[in-house]
Amino acid sequence: MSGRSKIADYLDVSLLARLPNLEFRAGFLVDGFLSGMHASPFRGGNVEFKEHRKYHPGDDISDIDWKAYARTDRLHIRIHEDDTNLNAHILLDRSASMNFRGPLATMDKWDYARSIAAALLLFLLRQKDASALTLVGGDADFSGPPATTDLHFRRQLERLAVNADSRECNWNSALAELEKEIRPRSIVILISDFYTEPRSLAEPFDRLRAKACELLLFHIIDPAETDFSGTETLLLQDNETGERLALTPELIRENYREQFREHITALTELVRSRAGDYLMLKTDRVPLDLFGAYLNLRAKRRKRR
Amino acid sequence: MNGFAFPAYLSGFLLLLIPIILHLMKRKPVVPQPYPSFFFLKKTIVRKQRRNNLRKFLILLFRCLAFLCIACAFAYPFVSDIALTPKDATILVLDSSFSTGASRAQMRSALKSALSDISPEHPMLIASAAGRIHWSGDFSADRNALETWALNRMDSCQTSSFATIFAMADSRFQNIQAERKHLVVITDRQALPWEGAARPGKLRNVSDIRIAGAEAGKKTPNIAVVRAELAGNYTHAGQDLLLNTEIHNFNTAPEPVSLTVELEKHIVLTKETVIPAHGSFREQFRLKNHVPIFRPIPGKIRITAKNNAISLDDTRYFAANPVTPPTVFLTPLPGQNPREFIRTALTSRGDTLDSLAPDLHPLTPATARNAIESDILIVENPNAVKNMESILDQQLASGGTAVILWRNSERTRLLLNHFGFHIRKAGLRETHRLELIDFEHPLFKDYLNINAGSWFDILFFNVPQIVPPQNARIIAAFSDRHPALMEVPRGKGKLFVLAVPPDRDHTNWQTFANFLPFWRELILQANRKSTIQTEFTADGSPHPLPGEVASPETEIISDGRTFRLNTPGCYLCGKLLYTINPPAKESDTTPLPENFDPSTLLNPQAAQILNQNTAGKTGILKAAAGKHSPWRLILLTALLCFLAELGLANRTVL
Repeated sequence: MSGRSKIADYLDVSLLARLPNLEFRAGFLVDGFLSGMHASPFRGGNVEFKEHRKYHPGDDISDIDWKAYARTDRLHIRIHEDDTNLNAHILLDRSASMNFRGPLATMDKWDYARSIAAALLLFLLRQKDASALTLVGGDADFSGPPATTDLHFRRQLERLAVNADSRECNWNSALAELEKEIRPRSIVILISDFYTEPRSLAEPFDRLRAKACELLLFHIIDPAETDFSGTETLLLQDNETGERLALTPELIRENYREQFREHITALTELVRSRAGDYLMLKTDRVPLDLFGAYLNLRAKRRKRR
Repeated sequence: MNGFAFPAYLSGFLLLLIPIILHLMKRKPVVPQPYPSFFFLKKTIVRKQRRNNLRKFLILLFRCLAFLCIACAFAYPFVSDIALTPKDATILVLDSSFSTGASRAQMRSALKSALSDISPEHPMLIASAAGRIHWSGDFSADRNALETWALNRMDSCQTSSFATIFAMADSRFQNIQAERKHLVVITDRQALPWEGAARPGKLRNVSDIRIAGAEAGKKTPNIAVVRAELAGNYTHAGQDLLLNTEIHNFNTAPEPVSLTVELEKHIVLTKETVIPAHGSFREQFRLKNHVPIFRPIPGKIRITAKNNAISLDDTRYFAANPVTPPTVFLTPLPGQNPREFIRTALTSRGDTLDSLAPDLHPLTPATARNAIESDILIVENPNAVKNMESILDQQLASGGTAVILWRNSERTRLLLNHFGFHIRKAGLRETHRLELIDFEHPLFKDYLNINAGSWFDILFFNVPQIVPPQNARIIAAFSDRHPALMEVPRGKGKLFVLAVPPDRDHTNWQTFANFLPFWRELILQANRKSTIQTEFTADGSPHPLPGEVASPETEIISDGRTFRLNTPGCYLCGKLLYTINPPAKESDTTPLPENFDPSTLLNPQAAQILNQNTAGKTGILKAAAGKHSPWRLILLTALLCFLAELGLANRTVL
């Protein structure tokens, strides 16, 4: 078990829910993540630090600083200072389906997703990565080009202070709209419950991939959505459409779970086949994994450069 | 007619509201619960939900059915082919005795005529009187069934009596609510069945009574063999047999009769005689026994006469079963001959033992095995063999009789202790007489007819005080109330304990005239072979016999080990021949007086009683009694419904 996971075990998600605003939640998550960094496998956790160190067998020879070798006649590994022009686009699903909180969760998916988005913005700010937040509903609410300023961060946080009340989340149009705003080699982070056909995302993802963008999907799930427990007949109301349906969970549970698994598999394959990453985040757990996922993707991107 | 015995339980149908209300309450939740998206649900929900609706409907159906069945079963539904309150009800009493054989056609016609009125408003019931009483079931409107039932029971070899059947019919009328209740007696008008039945005012629930069948005043001519018994015992092969016979002429004129006696299908005697009107012919015949082997011999006497309408009683069966003398074992005392008196008593020739002298043996270690199978074992000296207790136990267990004579010795004391006797004092130096004798006991029964007084003059000396076990029967006691003669059942046999040995030091009983008969009677009672009843009267009742039954003359009629006494004849079972003869009294064909009025049997207040019964709320239950009711099936259905509900609702516990 990694150090990060251990920290996540000790951090109570109810504590996160009780924090008064998104800034505090973002700080809680980022600080919680950084406190576990000593055990992190991710290189570049302290991305602002630049150094040389002695070469050890097994290190990537492309990282050897040959100039230093010419000067000192010793092999040193060059630890790159990270890019200062990295752009990250955070796309947050604000459809009404995010307004769901199951009996085991202490916060609804929207609150959870907003906390994640805020934490990412803070994390990116601290890494001097430019970030931009787009709220995706029926159409995309683009905030403008990514920036690395505190003022920009504050404005993004203010933008998160809305309700998830959109009747739909149209990823296709949102991504098509954003496509021209997203600079090549950006990191595109999608935070959603992804109640959409994975096949429909293939085309926009391909276009992003053509621009050398990295894709990162954070799938927000309430535990009740995966378990689908209960024996009595329920009258359910669709948060997005308002449609009602009477059903007995125990009758369709197996089928439901099977479809859910297939959906996750399809999403994972969709993203990973495009060199991106997929992470499922359940609302009853503190989402520290997301930073690791981000850093991992960032490191991969840097290596490909 | 269909109905419910307890219709109040039908209110249990209200229980149906429980599952229905539960179903309606749970059918569809009113308050919707928010759910993020029906993205996955819509794909499968329709088909699954349709199945769920069907399942819920089935669960509701089974629950409702279960409650319905339980309420219905408690209400006790019944199906009957008669009206709940018919206008008329009739009980047909069918005289099935063998004397009715001469009037069979008239009786059959009377039966059909009586049954022609049958309908749901006029149900009928038939009782057959012949030996035992049989009922056709409950009141019914099924004419064919009743007619078939009655016709199958018209032939019998038994006698009939209306005394009980009338009482039973009167009682059966109480169970039906009818305005008029008729009793029809279908008979040959023989006077015999009415003996004891024609008590005025006897029938309280009958509106009217009438006799149908044979014509009034017409007498059936009959001559019958009413007795055929062997006199004396058949004790050896080739022995001539003495047959006591009695033939009765029930006709009003003297009748010439020819009689034939057969022994094992060989005619051994024929005779022609004339029997006076209403008179009897009694004679003892000596029959020449041609059977060279000592084995059971079946025999019969048959008569032929002109004016004789009933044939069944023309033949009477008898059987000569070999009787072997009882085997008696005695224990001699060493150095003296104290059993002299007993031996003398047993070997003396008297009236009862002239042809059955007991087979006497001394009990020694060499004869111990045979002693176990003996009829009687008289123990005066317990030291005669080593294991006397064991021999006695086995002999008694197999149905033998043992007599222990008291003698003041430790061995006798131990022997008596083994059988539960306790010796309080060994010998009292006083003189005693008998003070109490149980003359109901078979050993003493005959003395009441002769002279019982001599028993109380016998003197006894040095008698002990013996305390018998709980199950002992004290047959005689001394003047101090201590038992003199005791009987204890043990195994299949009986143990007698005599508190005084018959010698000069203890009693002067040997000098009394009752001494010899006492021992002879004991031997007769103890003889296993002579105590089995082999002669029976045909009455249709089952009689258990020790083995398969075979008839030398007719087919085997045994059903296992039970012998139905319903067909006259000789039947071999094991080593004994059993005889069944028709009841002699049934041969008396004296008719009812022409002026006999059966309505005198009716209670004058019958109409009032009937009205009270009808007005009273007697009985749906009575109406339902005996009717076909599917309540067991309904309860089973309820159980199945519950099981189906459990299965459908996926319950694992109740």
